[in-house]
Amino acid sequence: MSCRTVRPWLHVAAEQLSEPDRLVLEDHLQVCERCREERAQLALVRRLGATLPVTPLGPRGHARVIAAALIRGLQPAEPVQRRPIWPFAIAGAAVVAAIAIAVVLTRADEPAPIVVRDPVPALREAPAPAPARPAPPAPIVRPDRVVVEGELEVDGNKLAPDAEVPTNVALRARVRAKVRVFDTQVVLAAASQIIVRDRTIVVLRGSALVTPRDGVQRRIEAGDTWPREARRLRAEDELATAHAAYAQGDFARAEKFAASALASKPTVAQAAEAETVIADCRQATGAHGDAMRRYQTIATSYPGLAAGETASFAAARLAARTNPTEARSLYERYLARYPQGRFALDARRALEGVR
Amino acid sequence: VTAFAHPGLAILAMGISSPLPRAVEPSIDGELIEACRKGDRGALDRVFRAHAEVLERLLARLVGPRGDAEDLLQETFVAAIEAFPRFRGEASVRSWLHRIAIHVAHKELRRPRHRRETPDDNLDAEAASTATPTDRIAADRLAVALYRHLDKLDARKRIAIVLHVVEGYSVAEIAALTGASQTATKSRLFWARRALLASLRRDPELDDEVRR
Repeated sequence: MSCRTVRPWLHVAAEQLSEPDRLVLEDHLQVCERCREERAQLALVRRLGATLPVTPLGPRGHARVIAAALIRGLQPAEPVQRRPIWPFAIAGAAVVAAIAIAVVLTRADEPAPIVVRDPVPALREAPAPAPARPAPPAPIVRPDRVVVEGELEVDGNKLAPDAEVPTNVALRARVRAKVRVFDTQVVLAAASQIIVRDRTIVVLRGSALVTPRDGVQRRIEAGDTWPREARRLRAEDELATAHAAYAQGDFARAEKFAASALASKPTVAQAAEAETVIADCRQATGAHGDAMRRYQTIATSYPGLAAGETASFAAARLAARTNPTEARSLYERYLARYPQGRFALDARRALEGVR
Repeated sequence: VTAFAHPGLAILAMGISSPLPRAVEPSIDGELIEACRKGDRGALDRVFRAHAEVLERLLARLVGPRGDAEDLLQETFVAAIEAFPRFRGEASVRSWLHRIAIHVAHKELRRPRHRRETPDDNLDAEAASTATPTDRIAADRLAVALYRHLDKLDARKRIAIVLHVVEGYSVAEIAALTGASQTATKSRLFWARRALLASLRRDPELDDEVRR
């Protein structure tokens, strides 16, 4: 039996083959090392391909995708943006008039034609040509304007509905409000604030629901932008690598990737997370003083973020090893800030222990 | 034929040259198809829901863990909505949607972005971000490493080998799904298999896994 005969079966699991084919294949594999190796490799490809590390969307995810596809697929085709023709018509008319004037002026030097039957027209002065009207200015296109569709404020001043505001101005919504930024609808949550910079929407405070042209709504939190920047996605990747390295005990690598995430123009939340990883690495490598300073900086810099809360608790826990007085003060500070926090129970127990 | 969760398994159970298994075809009647042709939202929703899971899995396997299967699935459905008025009903809806999905995946794989995102760091990050238990991370890392080797293949060869080995389609079915001749498909499979296996042999991590 040749390798050519069994090749179509090499990638097929034994239990999927018919009995005669399986016996033929087994006989061949016993004598052919090359086919044996190829079969093992293909089995690995089949197994790994089938167990791909992808989180399935699930029925809810499918419903979301289908809804977005239906919006995109069933929306009527956008009418072709036609340029207004009247500026061209007026410009054309002006050119024709200019040519007419030139022709008339040139012919003025020529002798008048001899007209026997009706001399009057030749003696009549040519009517003065109408002065060519200057072409009207092109319609003003304002790609740098943001159209307000709800109650919004700029520096405490309430804006009129349908007002247009320039970019680089922070817009604040007291209550839930809508704004159109270029072709993107943005719904600001109450007490949220955004700014538009270089066609990028930055959420400064609160959150916003962004619905771009594809119709798929995304939630953008404080510190994040729309469109998401490639560098921020890079920061996400680097943070994931840093976490994995930390979990494996490779603190140098974890710190390197966290520092790289910090250098990749991260979001506020990503920056806090990266700094926490660095502080964790310092603590793990015995640099307790440095770790403590970092935790305290994170806790004071990002009090509203999960990383800030974690750092606040981590600082107290680290202090408990060396300085019980400081630990007590830090636990109390944590509980004062986050009485219902994720580590509140642990902090109360630890506080009792320190006392 | 029993209903298989995985269409490829049904094909294998029947022999590699058997046609696409009808047992996994969701029941879609002519009226529903006609409504889809007219752009009926409810009908399209029903047809897409019936095939979403299989298409998602197919797209994920074709483009690998780095691809955004959600976006590609959406692209597939949008393309299907646009193409439904031209659907003549000669093939089953499932095969037709598979063809569209493969076309969408092919376009994605040919994009420079997809080829650019191949450094090891990204792969490590993806492998690490998928699961927390150590064994799962190791398995994910191997799968991601496999797709790093698949990334080296030409898009058409890659699609052919994934459909053949992972999805279990026969040469004739791959030819029908990709719109290529059977001769071209065989040639693609031959070269893809040779290149992939040679590449795997040079990867110590995957080579160890083969010998286990």
